Amino acid sequence: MTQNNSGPLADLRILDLAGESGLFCGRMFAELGAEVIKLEPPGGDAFRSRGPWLAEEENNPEASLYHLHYNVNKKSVTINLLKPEGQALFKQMVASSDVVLETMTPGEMNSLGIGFESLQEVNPQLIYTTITPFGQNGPLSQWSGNALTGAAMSGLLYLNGDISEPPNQPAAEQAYHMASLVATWSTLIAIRARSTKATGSRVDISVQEAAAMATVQTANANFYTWHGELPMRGGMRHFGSRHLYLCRDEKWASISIRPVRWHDFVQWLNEEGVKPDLTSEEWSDPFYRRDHQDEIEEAHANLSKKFNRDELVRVGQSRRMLIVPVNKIDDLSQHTQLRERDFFKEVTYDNFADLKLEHPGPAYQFSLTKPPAYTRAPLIGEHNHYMYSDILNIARDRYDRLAIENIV
Amino acid sequence: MSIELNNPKPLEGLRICDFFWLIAGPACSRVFADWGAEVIKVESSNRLDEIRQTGSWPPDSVRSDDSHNGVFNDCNTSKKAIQVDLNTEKGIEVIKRLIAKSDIVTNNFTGERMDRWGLGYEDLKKINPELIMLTMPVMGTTGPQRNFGAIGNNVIALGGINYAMGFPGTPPTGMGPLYSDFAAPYFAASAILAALYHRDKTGEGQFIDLAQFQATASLLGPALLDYSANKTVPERPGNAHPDFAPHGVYPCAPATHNSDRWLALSIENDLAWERFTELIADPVLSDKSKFATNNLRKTHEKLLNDAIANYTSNHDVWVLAGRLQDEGITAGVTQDLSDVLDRDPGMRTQHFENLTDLAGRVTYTTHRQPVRINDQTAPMGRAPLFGEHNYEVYTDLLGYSDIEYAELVAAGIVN
Repeated sequence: MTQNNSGPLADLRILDLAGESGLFCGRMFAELGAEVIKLEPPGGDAFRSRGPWLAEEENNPEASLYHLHYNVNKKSVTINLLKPEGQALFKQMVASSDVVLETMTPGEMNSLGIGFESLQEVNPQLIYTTITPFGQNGPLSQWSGNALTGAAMSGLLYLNGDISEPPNQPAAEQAYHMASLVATWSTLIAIRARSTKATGSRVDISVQEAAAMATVQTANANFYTWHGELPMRGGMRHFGSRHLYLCRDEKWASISIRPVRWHDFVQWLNEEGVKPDLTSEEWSDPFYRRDHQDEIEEAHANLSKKFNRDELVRVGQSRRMLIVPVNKIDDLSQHTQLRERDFFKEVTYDNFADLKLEHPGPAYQFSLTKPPAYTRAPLIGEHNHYMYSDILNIARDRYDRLAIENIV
Repeated sequence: MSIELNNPKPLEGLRICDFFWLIAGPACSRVFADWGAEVIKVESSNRLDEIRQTGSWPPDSVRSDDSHNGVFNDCNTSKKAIQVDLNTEKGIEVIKRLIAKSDIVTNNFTGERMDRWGLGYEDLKKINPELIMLTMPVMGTTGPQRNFGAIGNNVIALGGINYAMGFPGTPPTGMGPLYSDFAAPYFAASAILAALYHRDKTGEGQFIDLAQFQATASLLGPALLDYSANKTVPERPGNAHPDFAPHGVYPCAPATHNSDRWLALSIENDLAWERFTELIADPVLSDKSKFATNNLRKTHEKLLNDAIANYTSNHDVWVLAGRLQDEGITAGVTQDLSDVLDRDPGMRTQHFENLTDLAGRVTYTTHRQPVRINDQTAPMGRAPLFGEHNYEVYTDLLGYSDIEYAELVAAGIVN
């Protein structure tokens, strides 16, 4: 056994037609070593118009940090799928690919003559993965949707925020992240099924259903079916008390006291002279505690005020309390644990005077199949030559004509 | 062409020795169990998975034991469960016998727990060279904070999601659900399947070290890259979108079952805005000098949001969302749980399945796997009782005789 630097999915090729809802899926495949080829219309895809931007580069489609983040490690090839010759070229690409990932409205690819069935004719082993707001079939399949409405329709949005405020959208388009995560593992399951069935599969992900998986605990369906209860947004109350507290240095800490540590916690409060006093016998009863949350929260708040955040975390962890910092972006960027574990990947952008950017990296480390070094997000059509000449063997003069006719 | 997917099921033939407990872990191994792998949930004979004892409880009239809560049953479908006392030599022998016959070992213990039992990857690959092992503590298995204690709500704080949520000028609020408990397991499932892909080609197993903290931080979108490029520390955005308006939730008319009703609405371009204003014919919002272009709407965003809220508050959220969608406008209902189950036209039948407990007394309304492969969902079985498959696994799979099994019971290795 030898370690390799090509990742566990090294010989897979993904044609990534995804818009925003599926970009993170392609990113995960690329991270795991697959060759992910972003297919964009001539001129570049719409996600390149999303901010934030590199400084002084606003509206430059190569400088959208949204694009750079989600398309790092991918290749880019331009193709006009609205034209018959573009469709024919796409089928040629499909013949040598493992996966097509797309996020169009159900039926749209069919109407272009490049739906699953047509593509299966050129590649019977193809995995065809779609991410749509409500799935390919079903009563709402033609409704439009985005990350906000996906979170709303899944039941996830209703649970976020404080009851004195409107429901609050998840940070950073989480409904799309959930859909992309589901698309990644389910596509890999379909790839595995290929080995026993010798045929490809169609994999159909609904953003609504994927995001609903985040509600399994907080809005477990049985709260309603058994008791008629409707879980509401409760701010930061979890397990009977808030968990975010302001520390002396105006930073925030997240505190969870497990029931088995209750007495240790009270002892700590006493050592610090924190009020109110929770030592009397009735506080040992978890049901009493549940009914007297205000005093417990007050004790948490007063304890937190005595310490700077990092000191509270250090002392709390040494006492085996679950206390961690509420990290801001700058905290994360400097985080010792993330640095020690090589979470950040430095990428050189030769197209911006060798600018070095740190991309957030993977969730995991493999002992054997190390991922390849990060490569910068691609320019629009940067890998056209690779695709059209090296893979599809298209002659130079035909390629030039395709470019003139706005097909590539 | 219709392709039969589930005969055999796509992951049939795989076996997982599953030490996962609580939520984040079991939500990962559930993927494998539902799609056909034999997932054997290992619990200590002295300490069961705490999630059996927490969550939503059925009415007292049908409640019969610890395992009958909705959350546990939703995270552990289709699995088997055995007990073993890992603090005994005999127990370690039992579990090594199981691992020798498994493809995958999973756990979400902190620190060196598995190593202390002699069950670290370096030990296990000696008895099973093709083994794939995944460990997913909050902080990962290396680094100075590898022994940090944290649970789901702490992890979303660590990962930066709590701080990024809330309305401008308010404290951080974060997610209601313990989001990392449901996102991290999908990273884990993807990583295991990727390692299986490699193993199937080469026969090589390996160790995967997943940090739930890293999984969560990687879900912050371009924010970390923006910090690297521009040192930007963003304000809490409330429900605003950085590029366009309107984008947010707007109060709607009270319903009989719930007065807290909100339309989610997102209008990304001027054409959609034109259709919107034509449809609702509101005099304030029809003012082209204030709202005709996205730039104007962004400039007058507060005014815009107030005027939309003024309009929506007289309308039923489901009716209004339907009318807007008919015009191609991106709108939706901020569904409460009863909406999801009773009013959404697809979710109850497409997404939920009723499972019944062993005695046939309790019905669990359970999420299906949120994907269809060739139009088929993963078939699900109910979650196992504590130690339900002890005898079957110990005798049929591990080869203990009835006499040996009785000895293990007498020694307290199993109950």
